[in-house]
Amino acid sequence: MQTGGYDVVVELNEQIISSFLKLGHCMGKFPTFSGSYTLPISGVPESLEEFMVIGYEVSLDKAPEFEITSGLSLKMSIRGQCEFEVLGGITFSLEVEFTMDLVPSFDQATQVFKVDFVSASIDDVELNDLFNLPSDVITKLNEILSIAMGEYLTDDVTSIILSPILFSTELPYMPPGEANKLTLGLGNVKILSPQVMAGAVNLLGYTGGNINSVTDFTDGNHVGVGVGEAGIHRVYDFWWQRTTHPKSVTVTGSHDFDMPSFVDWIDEFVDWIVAIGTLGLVDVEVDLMRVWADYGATIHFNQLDFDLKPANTVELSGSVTIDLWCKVYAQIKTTTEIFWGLIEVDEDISTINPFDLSVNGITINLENATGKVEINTSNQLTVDLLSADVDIPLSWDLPEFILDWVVDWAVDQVIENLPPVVLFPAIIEQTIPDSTVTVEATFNKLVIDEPEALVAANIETSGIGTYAPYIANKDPEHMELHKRDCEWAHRIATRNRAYFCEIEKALAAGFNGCAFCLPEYHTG
Amino acid sequence: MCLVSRVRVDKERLKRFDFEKLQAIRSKASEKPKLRDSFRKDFKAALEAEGVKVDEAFLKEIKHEWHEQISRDIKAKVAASPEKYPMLSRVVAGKPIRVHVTIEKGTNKVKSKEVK
Repeated sequence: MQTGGYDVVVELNEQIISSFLKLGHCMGKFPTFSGSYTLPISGVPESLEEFMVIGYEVSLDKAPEFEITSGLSLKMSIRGQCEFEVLGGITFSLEVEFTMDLVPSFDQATQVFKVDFVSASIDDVELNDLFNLPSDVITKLNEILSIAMGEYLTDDVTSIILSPILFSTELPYMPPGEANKLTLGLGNVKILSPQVMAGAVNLLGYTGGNINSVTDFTDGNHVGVGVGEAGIHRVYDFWWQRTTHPKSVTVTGSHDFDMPSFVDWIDEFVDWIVAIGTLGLVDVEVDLMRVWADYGATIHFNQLDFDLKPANTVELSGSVTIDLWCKVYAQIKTTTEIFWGLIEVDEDISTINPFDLSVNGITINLENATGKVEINTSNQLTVDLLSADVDIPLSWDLPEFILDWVVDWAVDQVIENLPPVVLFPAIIEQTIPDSTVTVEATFNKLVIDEPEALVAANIETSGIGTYAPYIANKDPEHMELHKRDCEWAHRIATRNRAYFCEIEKALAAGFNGCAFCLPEYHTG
Repeated sequence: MCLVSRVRVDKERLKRFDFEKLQAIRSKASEKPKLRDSFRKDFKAALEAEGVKVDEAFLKEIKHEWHEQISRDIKAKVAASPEKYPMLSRVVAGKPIRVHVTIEKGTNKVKSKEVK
């Protein structure tokens, strides 16, 4: 089992982590941090104290880069612009590179992968030759930056979300409230390879699983979600106990029978009608005007049993309990008036009721039922029922043409009204909370391998327009790139807007910098 | 619109619906032509005049006898040509009706049915 015996394993490829870091950067999740450091020199006259303060401000020009090392640890590289202010007003800028050590975790409250910052070290500080700073000054500045970074990491940004919500805890057709959501227990997190890391959780109080047995099932896709069959059963049991989906339905129907459908029974049928109408005591000629049936059923659905099989198939079995009734009528026109209490007389037209049948509480079994596991349009794992044998223990003596119709109708109602078999909630939520960013998953793998279901998908995001720092005019006659707050950006028609998080990508796409807000990238 | 027109019911065929009380009434009707006229005019009153109380018990007995005969008719028809009546054959044999269904993917609509 690739899921290692856990209920749910989520796996994340390094590529999507980098994409989400870029997204986070675009959304302003890496704010500029600033502060000041006072040189620890004692005995400084008060008039000189302000010169002991070194101010700093660090901003990130680009999104951080994430890496799973060959030693299976996590690191993040950040390149930023650092501006120092010294001696009460002299500023100079440096470019700095930091490397952070990270510890991965799977947040069971939000179902996202995140990393917590452990430590940071400065890799490189670009010297600004204009100032010709002595090396000990550079060293001191490094120390200040390290202290500042440490405080930034512990106070301002302690962790970063690396993934979208990988699965929901909400099931369809459930009452509101936390008690009706899946409860998760944290299993473990493991870096499987330099490309993939995995987080394992259990559902509804289960505590099993071995993280060392978890293997990579992403097949190179951005994310993978694996669900063990035992977990799937737990989810379905939980859902069935609490769902608001109707477990019983009352339906009725009516049908007029045309002549060809009962030509085989016409002699018997007329005999029955006349016998009921006259006891055979009166000579009669009969016009059979109409034959129809009214019928109805209350169907009570029971929870189904299912078993995952290879090739994404599911074997199911179960039963429904049904109260079924059927009344058959014939309308006849007679040449003799009949009035003896069991039939209605309307001038010379009578309605005879030869059959009035009902049965309560019979069990209809679903046998040899098969289905396919699918991901529906809401990204939920469900079962599509494809075939079944429906066994109906009915002892009604009815002509075949009526029995056939009523049984057909009852079978249709049972199948059409069957509650869904909910296997798992939505995989890969379609929005990022508290944002306008939407997530679209393209599922490239759905494999049922008997004890588990494995899903893998690639992810695209959209809706970055609210956050992107650069807006371009994709009208071929303009093709200009603007900063977000440029007044010319707001004049671009919505249909012509393209959004970019990184200026390099916009330029590579052929856009020209605005002469007003991006003059350094304006080529005329 | 009429499904079947002017069927004259052969009383001989209906004799299989006779039971004791009905046979008695039929005998009287065959002996007394005026009784047949009375039946045409006021069927219930004529029966009661012959001492047949048309009450709930009588109606219940009538219904029971009819349905017994209807069941016999149905079973006879199935016995004569069981292959023509697959559902009824199962009912008469005391077995559950088994219908194999195939279902249109994603819709829960029955695509085809076959009685097994």
